[in-house]
Amino acid sequence: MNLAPHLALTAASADDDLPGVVSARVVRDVPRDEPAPLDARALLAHLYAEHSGAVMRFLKDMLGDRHLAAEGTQETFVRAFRRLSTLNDPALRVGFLFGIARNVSLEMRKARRVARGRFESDAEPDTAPSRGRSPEAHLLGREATRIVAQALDQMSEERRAALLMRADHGLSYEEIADALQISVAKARVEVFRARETLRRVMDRYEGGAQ
Amino acid sequence: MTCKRTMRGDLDAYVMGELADEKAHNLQAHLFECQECARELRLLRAEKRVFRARAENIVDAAPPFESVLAQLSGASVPARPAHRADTTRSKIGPIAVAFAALAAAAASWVGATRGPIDTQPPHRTEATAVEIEPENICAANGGAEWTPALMGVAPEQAENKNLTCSTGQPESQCEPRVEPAEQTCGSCSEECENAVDSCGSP
Repeated sequence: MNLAPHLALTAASADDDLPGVVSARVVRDVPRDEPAPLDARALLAHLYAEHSGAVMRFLKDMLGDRHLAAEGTQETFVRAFRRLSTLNDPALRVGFLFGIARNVSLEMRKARRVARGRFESDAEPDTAPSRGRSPEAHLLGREATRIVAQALDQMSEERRAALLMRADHGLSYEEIADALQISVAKARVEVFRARETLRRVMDRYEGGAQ
Repeated sequence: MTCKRTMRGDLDAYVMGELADEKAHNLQAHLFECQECARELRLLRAEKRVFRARAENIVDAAPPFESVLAQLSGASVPARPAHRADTTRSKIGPIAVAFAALAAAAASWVGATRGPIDTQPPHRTEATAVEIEPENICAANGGAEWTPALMGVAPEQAENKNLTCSTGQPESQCEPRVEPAEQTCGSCSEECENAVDSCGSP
């Protein structure tokens, strides 16, 4: 469901200066067949329900630690709420969120000096058999986790983010470029190079399995 | 890699479902002729399967939404990754749950009150101010705890606006509002409802 709120909170108006009154200004340019605009909190709730799982997974891949990823997810949506006024095009929501998440991961990495090379060790305890899944599917999932972790560990931070956004979360190259603050051409190159690394790891794994 | 379709990234877009129908049909026809593209397509699909299998295997769920609301309201709530099996139970205290309930109620109220606005002709750009008066939610005046999130403004905006409640004082200094007791003049009967200053009795 595309709830598409064309919503912006603005504070710059004369009547906003009246004591005791705060205006949440809703700027609308909504065609008749579009759904009604949402309150900012409702929009945040909608974004959270829709994308928090993906943001959490992205941050865990970027940080290699699920506790840090959980903190980062919370921080990402707090920042997203504060910047909702800059989000005028609903089509850019995913790139908007992942851009914030990436910045959060960079800051957390810098602040806590998250070491590289933790992906594989952290990947194991977090995977567990799920209800309704066959042992084969679980085994396949564990192997896939290991392959991706090995590949991610060999990439630069930017390349890793580009690959995850494209291959894991399905962002367009335009959204990736927007999130990483790079050109679309560079986003394509980063994903291409990252795929080369991933394929090398997959080849090694297949060779070893035979 | 020499095929232009591969170099252009058409296959990537095809696997991701981004290619328009006509281009997709042309590409499918091309795949029968081009070994290079067929191989690239197999690799891309294998990658997709790997990522999908991995995503299905990850059991970490995001922290509950209440933790975000609590952080927005200024409360310090540590984010804890929730296991999928535990997602039905929030580990956040009742205050955060109350925030969530209030936010949901406010959202539904705002949604309900905006009904007439949506009857405007389409494609008209307009700005509609939705005023939220702090006196309705100021803690000192019997409402819920004051928070920028519940006010519908970003906290940094709220900080700059030096918000006051209905008593005219900053929120931090707000005192509970005391309704004045109804007074009647002593010369009237007890049934007289006139206030002292408007009673015409001698």
